[in-house]
Amino acid sequence: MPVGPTRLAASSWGLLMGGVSIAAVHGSFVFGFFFLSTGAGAWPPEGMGPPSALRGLATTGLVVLGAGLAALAWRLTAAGSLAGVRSAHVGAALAGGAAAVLTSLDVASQIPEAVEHAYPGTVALLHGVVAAAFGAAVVIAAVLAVTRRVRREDSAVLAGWWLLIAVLWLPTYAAVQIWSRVQ
Amino acid sequence: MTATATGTAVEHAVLDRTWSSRPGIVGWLTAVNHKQIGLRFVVTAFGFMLVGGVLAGLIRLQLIVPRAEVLGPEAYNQVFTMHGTIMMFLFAVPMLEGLGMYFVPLMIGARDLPFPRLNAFGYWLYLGGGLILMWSFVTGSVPDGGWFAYPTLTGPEFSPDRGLDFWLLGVTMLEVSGIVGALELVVVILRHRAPGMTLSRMPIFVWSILLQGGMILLAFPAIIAASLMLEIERKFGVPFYDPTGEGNPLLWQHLFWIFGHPEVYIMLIPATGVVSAVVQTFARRPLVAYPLVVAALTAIAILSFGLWVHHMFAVGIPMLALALFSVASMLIAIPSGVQVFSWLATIWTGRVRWSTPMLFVAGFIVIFVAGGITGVMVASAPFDWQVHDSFFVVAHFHYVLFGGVVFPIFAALHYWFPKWTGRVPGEALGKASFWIMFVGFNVAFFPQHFLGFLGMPRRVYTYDPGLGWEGHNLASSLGTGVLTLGILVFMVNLAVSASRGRIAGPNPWSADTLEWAAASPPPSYNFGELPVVGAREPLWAPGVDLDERTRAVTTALRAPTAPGAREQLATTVVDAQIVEVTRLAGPSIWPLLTAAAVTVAMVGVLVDAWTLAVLAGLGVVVGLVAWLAPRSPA
Ligand code: HEM
Repeated sequence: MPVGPTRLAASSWGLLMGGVSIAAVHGSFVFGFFFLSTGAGAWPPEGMGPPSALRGLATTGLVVLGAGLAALAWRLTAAGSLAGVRSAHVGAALAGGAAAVLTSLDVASQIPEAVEHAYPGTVALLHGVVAAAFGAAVVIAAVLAVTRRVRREDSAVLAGWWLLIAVLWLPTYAAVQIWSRVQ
Repeated sequence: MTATATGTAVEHAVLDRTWSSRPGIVGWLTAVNHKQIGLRFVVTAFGFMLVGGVLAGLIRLQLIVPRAEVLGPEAYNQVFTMHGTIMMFLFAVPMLEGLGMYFVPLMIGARDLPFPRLNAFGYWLYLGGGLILMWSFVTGSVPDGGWFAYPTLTGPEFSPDRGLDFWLLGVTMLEVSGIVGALELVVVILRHRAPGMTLSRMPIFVWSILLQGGMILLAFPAIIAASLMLEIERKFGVPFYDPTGEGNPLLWQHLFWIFGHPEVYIMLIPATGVVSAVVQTFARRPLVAYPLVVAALTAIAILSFGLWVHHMFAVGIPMLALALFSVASMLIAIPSGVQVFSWLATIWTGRVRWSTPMLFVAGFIVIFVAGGITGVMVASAPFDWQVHDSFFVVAHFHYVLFGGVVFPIFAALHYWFPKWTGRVPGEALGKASFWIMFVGFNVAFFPQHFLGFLGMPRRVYTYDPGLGWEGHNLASSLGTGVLTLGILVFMVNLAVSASRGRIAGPNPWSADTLEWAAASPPPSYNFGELPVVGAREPLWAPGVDLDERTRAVTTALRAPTAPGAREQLATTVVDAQIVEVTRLAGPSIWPLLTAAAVTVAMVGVLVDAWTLAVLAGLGVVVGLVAWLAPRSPA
């Protein structure tokens, strides 16, 4: 059959569209964070603050690592290196797992005060979405690693998912870790 | 013209075996074919429309005379809330997406949607969300915060019972289902059009579904986010909207209308797509100014995102912003006008057959223009302050929603009925149903404009005699009765025609788009030989000369190239050149099981059964893995 592979398979198009909507849900939370800050007296209020700066930095590092490994897996798939792809998938799963734990701790750190003020609630929400995205990244990478799958489309889905994670994490980090502190 | 050679009987049999759903109840539960799923959306949405209609009937019965006692104040709040909610969330959008799911693949020469299992999942999620909302009637805790559910009224303090939880969780599921459907439709349109169907040759209905899909992907997330926040506030006391904890109820209003205003156009744009299809077919000529209509639809889609604040003119918005939003609200009249002039010019210069779908379209144009005029009136902030929350607004949005959306939907149901059933619906009863509905609609809703001027507020369960409102209310309620009769006649007509109508053949209306090249009803695989398009009106234009490569591909795909392979052509986005052959997933029970797990998780949250919710949540993960996990290393 006179047909060749496309740069972006249909599954990637689906992910792109789904990713737009997921990012838009998260974007609505980010909008909420800033909208509420404009009406509030102090944001964050006295005695409350963003989650640990160290965890924030570590998470940012893991995002870069995971996204890098996913991109590597994608390239290795094209090269047909099964062992390399599997290692990259396993690495991405580990990075995602560690980041999921860190962001879950971020959520947990905000919960005790969340009923008193909107700030910790919104911060927990923003991190909750990212934590769920990390969790999903683990599941995707794990399934690919276990099933020993090296199709280009599948690796593209994983790489795309990590791109989405970056899109979710960057505004979260900027709003919570940077903007909250310069207030 | 298309190249749709017939293929051999053997090839058809093999294709049918490959693309058919399994037989029996298992087959029904595991089905993923776009026609089955699309039709399920259409039928279920029609059913919900009837429920919403019964609630509308109750409202009008209560308002027929002053101090009537059909509904008390609480029940009235519940009934108008559920009426609005059902019509907006359970009827209009799913109905239009369902039509898109059924017809878009046929219109663009594809065999199915790109993610068939996801599509089935979307339907089951829609059903689950709908059932959660309906369940509220059984429990007696019916949502009563209006279709836009403003906090703080809907927060834990003022709406302590479960009613609003049904609303928030049900609506969230419905919106996720809407996104899933939109994703399918956008990808199929961009990537799976028949070779040669460039963007500029795409039917207007397909354009309208593409734009609707894009809008859904961007607009629905806002209400999902808003609803999640409100549900968290209600369940756990996090004060997102509660000013005592530095929350702000205006956040809901912004997020809701970022969704809510485009929502109106999410319904209107595909409805006008139907209108363009019907006008073209029954005027028997190509639509006048096709490029302008595409530009107008696109402009409406973009502008509609800039309009949300006009629902909030009365909350105290800075003057400059007010002026800008007023102008943007009025601007949208221009592209809407372009469409209306295109239809009128097509009708004027064509040889019109006034069959039933065309009558519904004519009725639509009249009512839509009236609704548009009152729309421009309320887009002016000072006028809006006068009629805000009065029956003038109720009249305006029913002119837009019923006239602008329901009439085209009825046109579509009549127009495409032969494709579904293989039989042409009766004309006499069809025309009668239109006239009864048209008269009934206007008698029901025109007087409400005057009620608004006379100061009758919306959402108030009764009124005193002597305010000068009796006559208009009586007329409005009687008109509703006539309208209902018209809908019943329409339904009887279709029910009778399904078994006794004239045999349709592939193209009973001599229409121009590809769905009419397939048999009626279409086989599971839609087309034996995949169509190739050389003109904007493929069935009206002379045949295309196929190049070698295209001929080789379409010939090869007259049968699966591997046993059981569901193959579909992928083409380039702009000029629809063949790029590859993709393989689609087949029937599976996992979409249903996963959607069921989501529904159970929601029920768990609803009734505070947290263990159940967590277990069902885990079930969702298991379901997704089982559904998506690749079966074999490739
Ligand atoms: C049989 C036809 C219909 C009748 C007689 C009818 C009647 C009414 C009436 C009288 C109200 C106002 C209640 C009040 O504010 O006191 C209302 C509200 C509403 N209707 Fe309809 N309606 C019909 C069809 C539709 C359709 C087809 C749609 C949408 C596609 C729709 C959407 C709404 C909405 C969104 C509300 C506002 C509910 C709220 O205030 O929260 N209606 N309807």
